[in-house]
Amino acid sequence: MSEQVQPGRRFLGRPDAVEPGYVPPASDASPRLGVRAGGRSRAGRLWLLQALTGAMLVGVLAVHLVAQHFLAPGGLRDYANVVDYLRQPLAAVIEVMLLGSVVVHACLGLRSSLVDVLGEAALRRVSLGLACAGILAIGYGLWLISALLTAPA
Amino acid sequence: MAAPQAVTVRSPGLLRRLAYWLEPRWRDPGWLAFALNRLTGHILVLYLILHLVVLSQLLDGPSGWDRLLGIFGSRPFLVGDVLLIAAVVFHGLNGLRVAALTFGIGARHTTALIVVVLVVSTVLSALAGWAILT
Repeated sequence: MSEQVQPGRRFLGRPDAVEPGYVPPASDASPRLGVRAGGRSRAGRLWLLQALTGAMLVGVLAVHLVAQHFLAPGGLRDYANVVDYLRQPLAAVIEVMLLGSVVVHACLGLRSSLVDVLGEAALRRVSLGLACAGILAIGYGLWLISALLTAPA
Repeated sequence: MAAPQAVTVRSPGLLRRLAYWLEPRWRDPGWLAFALNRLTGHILVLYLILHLVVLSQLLDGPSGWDRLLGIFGSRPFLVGDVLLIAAVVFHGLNGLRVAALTFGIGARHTTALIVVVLVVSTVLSALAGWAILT
């Protein structure tokens, strides 16, 4: 999650030499960040999505940690316990929400790190790669959950 | 009168730009929180990848998964769990602070809020460490 700060001292760690985390206002039409004059920028939409998935993570990750580790005997669930837990509908829904929000949040977080060091063309390629990796990770997680739901206990 | 000559300023290369991120001078508490947020974020992404890979052992049934529980319950792994929880707690609390800042909440007390995030993260991580290691 990037913190918006005003540009001041030249910071050469970014291609545009502004402060880390700086997102230009909508009036600075910048094709690099997809800013549209008078409208919500692409960077703004991605930031909002990152903030929303982050807020969702606070809740679902807390439930996941408490249920999977702090309530489980010995701090870890054995195979039968994992399957039993996932077969509770609410638990399965929470795990799917966790999977989606954590993967999206991670991909957006990596992208926001790379905004600070990559140029425009490289950033576009990496963003596409991150989107593909995120879709694959969510698909893999859903497949894993469905396999456990249909597995013999 | 001669036309002014264009001056080309070269942007620093990728390695040099990365090196500037390690430059500790001129940093304020906001930078520290930003850098820690980014560091913990990258650690958590690495853990997420490992976690998804390890979870594939569940497909082997009890023989695959239960075999790993002994390793996960060993002392080094438990210490790693505590450090991971510290990263999660700091990243989460600082993320809430940054989100609040965007809506203008706490903008006048940034340094104080960073201190609060660090203190609360330390206390919660210590409690989690006590629960896990004892």
